[in-house]
Amino acid sequence: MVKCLHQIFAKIQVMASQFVVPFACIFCVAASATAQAAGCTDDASATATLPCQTMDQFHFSLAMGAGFRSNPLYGGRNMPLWLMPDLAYYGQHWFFDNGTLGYSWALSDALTLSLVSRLNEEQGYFRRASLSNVFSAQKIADDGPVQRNDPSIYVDTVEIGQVNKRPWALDGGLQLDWQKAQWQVKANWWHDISNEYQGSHAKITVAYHVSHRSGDWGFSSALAWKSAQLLDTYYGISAEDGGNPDVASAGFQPEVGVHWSYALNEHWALLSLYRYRWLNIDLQNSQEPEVATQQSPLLAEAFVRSWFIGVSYRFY
Amino acid sequence: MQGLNFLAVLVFSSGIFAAEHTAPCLDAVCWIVEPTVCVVDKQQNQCKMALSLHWQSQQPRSFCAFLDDTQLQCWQQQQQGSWQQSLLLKQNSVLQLREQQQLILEQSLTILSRQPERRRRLVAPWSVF
Repeated sequence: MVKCLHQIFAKIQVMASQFVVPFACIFCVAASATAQAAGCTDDASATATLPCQTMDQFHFSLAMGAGFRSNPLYGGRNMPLWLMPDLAYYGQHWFFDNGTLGYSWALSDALTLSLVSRLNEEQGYFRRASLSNVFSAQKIADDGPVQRNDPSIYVDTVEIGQVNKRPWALDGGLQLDWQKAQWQVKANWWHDISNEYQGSHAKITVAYHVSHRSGDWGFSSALAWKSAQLLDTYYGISAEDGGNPDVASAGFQPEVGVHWSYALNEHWALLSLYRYRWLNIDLQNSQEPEVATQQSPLLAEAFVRSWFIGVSYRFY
Repeated sequence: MQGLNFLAVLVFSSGIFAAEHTAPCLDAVCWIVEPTVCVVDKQQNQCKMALSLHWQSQQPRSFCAFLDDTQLQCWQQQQQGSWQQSLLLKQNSVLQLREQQQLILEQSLTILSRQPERRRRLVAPWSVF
């Protein structure tokens, strides 16, 4: 117990040193910024301070630069980000925005309710790395190795190439947005409508947008909840995967992000994005439930980090 | 003399234009409403317009003009009538000519904005990353 607390405390210390201090500085910039713009109907919104969109018109921008989204799985491939699209279309009710299809109703000036659908993103991590990466096994748990099928073999980790292919799933759900001045609060509930993982997930996001002489800033923090069915389908070890079944339990995944852009002219802008998501995916050995839970053996890292820096060009 | 001729031509011309403007009324009741579109610079701004209407009928009638159920003017047993006033339109509206609450003619008044309508995005920009 003491050892466990010590590990948690050490983890928090690492998180704090890596992220809290830089984010505190970023929020200092935000606090000193001049407040601007209320909704999408005034002049300030037209200068892209807020993420506004002209109705009945496609928005398409392309960003070029350097960056990647880390892959937390053993044998997984980091997703390089050299080119990034930003595609959106908003009608009176229908909208398509970066892969999310929705139909929304304005409940009031500040509240919007939407029916939404999109592909579940978990499958995206199950992209295999090159062979050189596949065999770079690492030890992940201090509590000792996980015993698999053959009692004489102890396995530290499981590569994504060693488990069955995870399914693509289509999620459908509800989204409630509250938008006031520079603040945006979003609550999402998603359910697997393709019947692949037969579970749900939910997320609440708070975002703040501000315009400053240093550029347009967006800060966001979110807390996602993922059901046991979802986490078990993607990160659990089933008998079909060739091991003793390890069952995942539901978990929370916090996330923070920052978005900066600096308009050079009507079309070109400097762009930088950063996001850090903590993964809490704990498994319990279904045959020995009395044994303490531990991190999924598929996870090489308990976080997903994404960053990008480059320039963007707005076509429409 | 030449000046009088010029004046006569001018009066005659304006009479022609006036006749064209009012247009022959072939129906039992006709009206002209001007303008029917009000243009604002920004979305959700109120629109100020000088609205005028002129109606004419083949028979003497008793009409009332309404703007979105607000009575503007009534006429009793007349063959034509006019009304003009500055209005502040807060939204798209409907102008109606009624006779004892029966709808005779209807004209919509539309607010158009020079600035295209915009919505706040519901998904974070660049969220593919």
